[in-house]
Amino acid sequence: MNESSIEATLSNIREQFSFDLVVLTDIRIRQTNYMIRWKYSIGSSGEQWKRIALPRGKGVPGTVMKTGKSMIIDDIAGTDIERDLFRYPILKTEQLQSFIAMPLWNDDEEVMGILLMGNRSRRMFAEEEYEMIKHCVEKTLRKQILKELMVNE
Amino acid sequence: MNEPNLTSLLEAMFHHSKEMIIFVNKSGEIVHMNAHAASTLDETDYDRSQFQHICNHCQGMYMSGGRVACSNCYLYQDEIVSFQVYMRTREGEVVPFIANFQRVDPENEISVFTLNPLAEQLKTQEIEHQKRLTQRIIQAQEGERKRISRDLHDGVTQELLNVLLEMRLLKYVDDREALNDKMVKSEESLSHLLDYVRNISVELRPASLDDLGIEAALKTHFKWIERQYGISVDFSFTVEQKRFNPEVETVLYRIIQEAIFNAAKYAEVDCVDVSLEEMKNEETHHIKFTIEDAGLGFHVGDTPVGTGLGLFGMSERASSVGGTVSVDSAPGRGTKVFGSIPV
Repeated sequence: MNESSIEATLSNIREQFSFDLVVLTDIRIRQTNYMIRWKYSIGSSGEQWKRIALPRGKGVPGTVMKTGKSMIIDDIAGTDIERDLFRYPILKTEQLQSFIAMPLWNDDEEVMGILLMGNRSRRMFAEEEYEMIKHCVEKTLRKQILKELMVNE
Repeated sequence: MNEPNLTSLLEAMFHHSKEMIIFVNKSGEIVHMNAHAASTLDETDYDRSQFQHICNHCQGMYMSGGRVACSNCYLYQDEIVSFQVYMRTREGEVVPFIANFQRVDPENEISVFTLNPLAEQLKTQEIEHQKRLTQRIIQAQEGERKRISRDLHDGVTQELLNVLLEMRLLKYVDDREALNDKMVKSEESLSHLLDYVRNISVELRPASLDDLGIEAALKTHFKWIERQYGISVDFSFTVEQKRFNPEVETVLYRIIQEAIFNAAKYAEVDCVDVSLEEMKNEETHHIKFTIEDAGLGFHVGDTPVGTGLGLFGMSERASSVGGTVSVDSAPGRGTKVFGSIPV
């Protein structure tokens, strides 16, 4: 069960770091076509996330992919994101108030997918906490994804 | 003491006042009017042997949103103070007045209707309003330019730069297989870029609107909406005629687009209903449109959450082709935008 093991990993991350929502894009981003979709979701409030498909470069995944860096937002209130919230549909439909979005790299330094972990309330992410989350994601989720990509190829 | 009595004072006021004073009975016939009223109003159709009716002069009351209407006519009320009404004057113009209407003789059901010119005040107000509006339009235009410029810079320029660098490096790759790999990647980048540019152009104005007509353009747009906002659009299209005047098609497209954007931004819904139907008889041929959601809704009279330009733009677009738009909404009861356009 390939899918379920990624989902199980996501579910663990969600529980361990008490996020409300953890979503992951398709993990074959490089090969997938122009539109980027969320493929895995744990803790979503409805089915809307399944319909969302953003052109490359748009929304949260677009921003993360373009910069190659994590986005860490403690509170979207007062940010540029809030003003343009409808351009970040996942934040709007899931009513997230704080989130971390990070790129997942493969060994060739290409982005395989974007992981978004968020809460529906404000949340201060301390530096160490972020490092812990990042470390955990790399140890568990990234390994799991690489394993699945290998099996499928 | 030679104190002038009240009756003669009132009479003098009636005859010499620069205010128009008109006495009307309950059915709106003019019983008396003062000299100023008589000289201002258009009396060409006036048959002196008959009562003259106030409705011959009145062009309707001013309602919020710039509409002029006869609903809630003052004639059927006991008293309304300081409302705005349009009257036809001797010069054939329709001029706004500030009016008071009070029943002064309940027994004979006679009311007094006083009118003061408003044109000057209105003019300053209009200029102020125009200024504010222009400012907001300029802001919106600048915002849109900024967005397009960012789209071009972040998307197109960056991606082109990447491909350029990749291609420069190709020269130094000796191994044929590695070269192939790299070329495939450049190809992918270019194809993404192509999609990106296409997307920008469709967002600005879909070519399908000109090439294929309103139905196809809307269907594509609804698919885009679904992916962009996760909102599904339930579309009912029961119009037989396939193509219309390009202006009408653009107006319909933009109104529907704007209404759905509003639903996506403010209504907190995951589904919007859109319908287009044809209303046809011997004299008229209309397209009726409805965009409805079951979301949060709002008080129609409230100050808008956004710029307010959206709703204004919709009614301006509609009136540019002789159509109308109305908005019906209440908190917790969803929002319905509807109207019709003659074709």
